[in-house]
Amino acid sequence: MAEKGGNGFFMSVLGFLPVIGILGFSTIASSADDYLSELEVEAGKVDAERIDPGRATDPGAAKQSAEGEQASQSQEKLDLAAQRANFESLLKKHYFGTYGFYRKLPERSRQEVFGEYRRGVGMDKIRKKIVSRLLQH
Amino acid sequence: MSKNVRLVQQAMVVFTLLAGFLSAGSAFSDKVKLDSDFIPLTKGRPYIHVLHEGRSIRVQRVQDPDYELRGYFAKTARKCPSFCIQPITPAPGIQVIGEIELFDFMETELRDGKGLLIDARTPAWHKKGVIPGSINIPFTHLTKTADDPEVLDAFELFGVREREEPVFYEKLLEEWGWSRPPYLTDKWDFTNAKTLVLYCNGPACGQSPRAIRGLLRLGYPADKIRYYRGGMQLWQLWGLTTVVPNE
Repeated sequence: MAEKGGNGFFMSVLGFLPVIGILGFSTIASSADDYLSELEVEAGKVDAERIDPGRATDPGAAKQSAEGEQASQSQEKLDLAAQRANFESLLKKHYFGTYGFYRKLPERSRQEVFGEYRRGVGMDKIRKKIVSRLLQH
Repeated sequence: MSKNVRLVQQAMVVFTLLAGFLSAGSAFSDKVKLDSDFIPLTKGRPYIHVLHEGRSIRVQRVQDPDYELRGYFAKTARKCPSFCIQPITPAPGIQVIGEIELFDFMETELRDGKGLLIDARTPAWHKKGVIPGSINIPFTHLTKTADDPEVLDAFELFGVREREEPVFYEKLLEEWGWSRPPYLTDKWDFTNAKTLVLYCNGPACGQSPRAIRGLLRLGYPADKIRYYRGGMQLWQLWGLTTVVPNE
């Protein structure tokens, strides 16, 4: 009798298992949905905005006098010099051998290589260019 | 006599080296003078260039000393549990990186096509502004099963291949646990998989950690995944360049 009662209990638990499974799954799914909907709400609070330090620091963009224009040009030159120094230190740090070849290039070729870097060309291609320019001289 | 000659030669070598060091020092100080007012990314690195949607973008810091962060990312309070502060690492074995390491990544692996910078946020966030050089793969794409089309598309982009059927003795050795070639799972070959750097909104954002855990579940090697925990919030706090996609 007791055995029969025990079996009945197990059978009823087994019967509920799919229900428990479905409930558990729906809880997980709804928590994922909740997270996604909260993300969407939060994203709605953000304004599309970019930070453009280059533009912000461009000295007196529209209404500038001749003096201002001169200052802008000299700033541009400084920028270029700094960028080139940056490029050279990158070469020296990560590709020391190639940097050695680069140093042997005439100024014109160096400028050409730097121009490629500014256009965002990959370092593999830049290194090949340095070697090819070196072989030409 | 020959001893004296050697002494003179040694002195000349020392002198030459010293002169070299001094001239290098003066060149360096010239460079510093050139940029004395400029706030660089790091010492000796004023900018970097990153390719974004086919354009070369200059990543640098805001130069205005009075610049203040405004808007959503200047806020400190976030609803928790949805936007709780995240642990420093999203999963064991994942390298957490800061800005300098991200600059290095941008200049090397990203530039050479050996790595990808992934904005793991949903498109609604992505369109508001991103770190230059990044592409959008929402975390929801990377938390699916291995046969899901979105996972397959992402893996193709990451350079992951489906693994070829191993020959019988390879299979046997693997089953016995004697040999498991690196970067191979039963289904995938991660040998040429790219290094991924994932980010989202910052230390209180759970989107990229979820993406990373999803990738790990799919078998992506932990040593090819990095986590930029600072995300958009710290990137903007440093006044670093951001871009709005398709603008």
